[in-house]
Amino acid sequence: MRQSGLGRVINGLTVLAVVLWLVPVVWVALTSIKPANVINSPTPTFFSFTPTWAHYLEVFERFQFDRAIANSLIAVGVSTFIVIVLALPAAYACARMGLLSGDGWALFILSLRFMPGVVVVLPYFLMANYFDLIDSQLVLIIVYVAFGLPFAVWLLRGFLLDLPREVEEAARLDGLGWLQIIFRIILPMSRSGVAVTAIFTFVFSWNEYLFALFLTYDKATTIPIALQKTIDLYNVLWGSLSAGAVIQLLPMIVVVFLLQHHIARGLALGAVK
Amino acid sequence: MSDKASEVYEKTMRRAAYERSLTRRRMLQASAAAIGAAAAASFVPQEVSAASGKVVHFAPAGKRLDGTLRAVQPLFNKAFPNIELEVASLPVGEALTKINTYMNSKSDAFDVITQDHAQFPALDAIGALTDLWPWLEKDKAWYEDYKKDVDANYRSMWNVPKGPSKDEGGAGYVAAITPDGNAMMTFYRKDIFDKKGLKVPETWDTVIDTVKEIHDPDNGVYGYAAAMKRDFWSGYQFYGILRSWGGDHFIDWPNGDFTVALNGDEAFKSLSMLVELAKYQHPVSSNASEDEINASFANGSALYSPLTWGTAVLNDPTYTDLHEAWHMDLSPRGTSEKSAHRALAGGFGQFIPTWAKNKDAAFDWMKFLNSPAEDVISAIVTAGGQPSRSSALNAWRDRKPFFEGLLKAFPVAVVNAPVIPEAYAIMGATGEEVADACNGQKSIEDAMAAMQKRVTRIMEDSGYYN
Repeated sequence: MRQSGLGRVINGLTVLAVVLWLVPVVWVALTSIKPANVINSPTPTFFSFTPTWAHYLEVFERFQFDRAIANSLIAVGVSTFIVIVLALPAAYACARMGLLSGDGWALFILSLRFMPGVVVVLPYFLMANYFDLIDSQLVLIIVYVAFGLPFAVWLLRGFLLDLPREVEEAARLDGLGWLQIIFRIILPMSRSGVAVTAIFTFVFSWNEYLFALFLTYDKATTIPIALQKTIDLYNVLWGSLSAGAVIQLLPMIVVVFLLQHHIARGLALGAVK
Repeated sequence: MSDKASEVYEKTMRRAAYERSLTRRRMLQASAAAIGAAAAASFVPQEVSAASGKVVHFAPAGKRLDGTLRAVQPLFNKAFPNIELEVASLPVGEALTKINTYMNSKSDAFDVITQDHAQFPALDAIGALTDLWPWLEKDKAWYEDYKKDVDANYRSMWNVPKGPSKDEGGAGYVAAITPDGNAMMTFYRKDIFDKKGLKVPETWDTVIDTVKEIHDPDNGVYGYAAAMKRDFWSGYQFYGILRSWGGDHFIDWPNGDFTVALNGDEAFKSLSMLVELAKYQHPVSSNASEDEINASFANGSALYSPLTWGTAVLNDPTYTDLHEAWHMDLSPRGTSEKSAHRALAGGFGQFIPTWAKNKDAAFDWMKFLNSPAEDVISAIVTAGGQPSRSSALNAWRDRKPFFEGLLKAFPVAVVNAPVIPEAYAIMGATGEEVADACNGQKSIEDAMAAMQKRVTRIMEDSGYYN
């Protein structure tokens, strides 16, 4: 089928937008394999350089990215799992059981997510210090759950409202309890919504900086903190910073790539449609 | 030559071979450095410490900061197997304030902390600093060597109050020791200056002519660059010139007179110089911290800065191809009677927090880190450090012109801000006015009046005039 003129223009603009979006990402990827003196040379170089893995080695050897990656995966993975396990019944209660069911309540729940982290970071720090939780993964998990939960409840509530009630009523008539309905009926039906919610929750926590900065200092530091360490005193280690950025980006790309059909479906449903 | 000296010599020669061009002159310098370092190595404390347990050292992240600690750590582990050393770090941009947060909460998580010099008055105000005298007294040979090797002017910055410590007839106690030296200096491209037959400006009245000679913006080369970001960065630029003219923020703060003195002739001359220099500045300057200025030095688009912190990174071959071209010297001075070369000194010192759990072992680590031993110094310099010990600076100055600059700067070093907790607020307030004047948003007179007013207000609010 031949494309119309307008279609070609739209396609062209789309390609242009993608290229514009990709250029900085490609530049970062290239910088991560450029020698430092090439990075600092007055003439920007795209491809005419001898690639080096030195920056990747440096982020692992000097900036302990292996530990930071493990910490991020544990803190973010566990907190995302807990958020979904807690948010699904909570959202179901809001959507189906008449508990905080109005849109006003939904907005109130969401508003908890609006609270700037800096407002509560010092009280969190003092509490964590009191309970000797500073620099532990547990404290990050607690905070990420606390901050991720309101948004997840709000988002899932929207998805659940779109599901047909008849299936649940049939299940109830067949003798299933609330929890069985949620995890055996609702969860499979709202897989895309749950996937989208999990991705959003994961991304928020994966990129989170402030709490990780205040509540950890060494053993439990996450990737954003390790990445920031590549900004040295009076000079930015652009090569290491870029290598770290590529490493931080990779899991996101993999997750989004694997779950892309869920994302596409999920975004077309529920609260964010 | 003894076995130890031979070993040190061999190591130094290997390192010299690593250098890009191994000239006969360098060979001789390396030999001299090795002999000096071997002699210095004999000062390593031989006594086996009874201290044991865990020591946690918190430092801002950076080659010069936690990087040097991690480089020395294996040597320490070997020498002190009874002490378990852990180095913890956070991004340098936030670490300084985080340290104060930890100290305000009386955290006992750390046994040693590396902190910026300017933060020590605030730490003193909350009682976070430990008087190191009981430990210094126990190893007087080490302390005497440290005193002899680190310029008194620079070393006394780590005493509270600033000035000689009690053991040297002063009033202060030693709150920190430091293997890290830093000062504001002139940075210049020696190859360009030599080619044009220019001398490094000694006085401010020759600076503009020098800048004009090398300024070539049509070819992307600028004669002047400086960290003129609109906050404490431009405040430091102003303060550096002000001190060189004999001025200061206050009439006589070391003796308790905090009457603001930013409406005088010295302030006018200092601000006028910055406004004049702004006409030739590298485009990055007006919003630059040292990060951006170092980048402009490294890529060859800026050729000169009369006042820069810079650091030794400009002499690092892995950072810039121009590492041999960048040289450092004393910043210019004014031409009045009160004028003199006065290098704003900075740097990071190590202190033991009041609430530390293992102070004996902590001091053993600090002492080791501040040792003159060749392998320790070599580890520090190779990792990107810039020592405070003259012996170390001398041993490495042929490969690091920055160290040559430090050797000149320390004897004329002055503190980079009044030693009061309000120092950063004052630097920020003056810096904002300086930036406004340099960007043409205010006249010099208006900016000076605003500085005077704002600093007075800060001091009033802090109760200095009650």
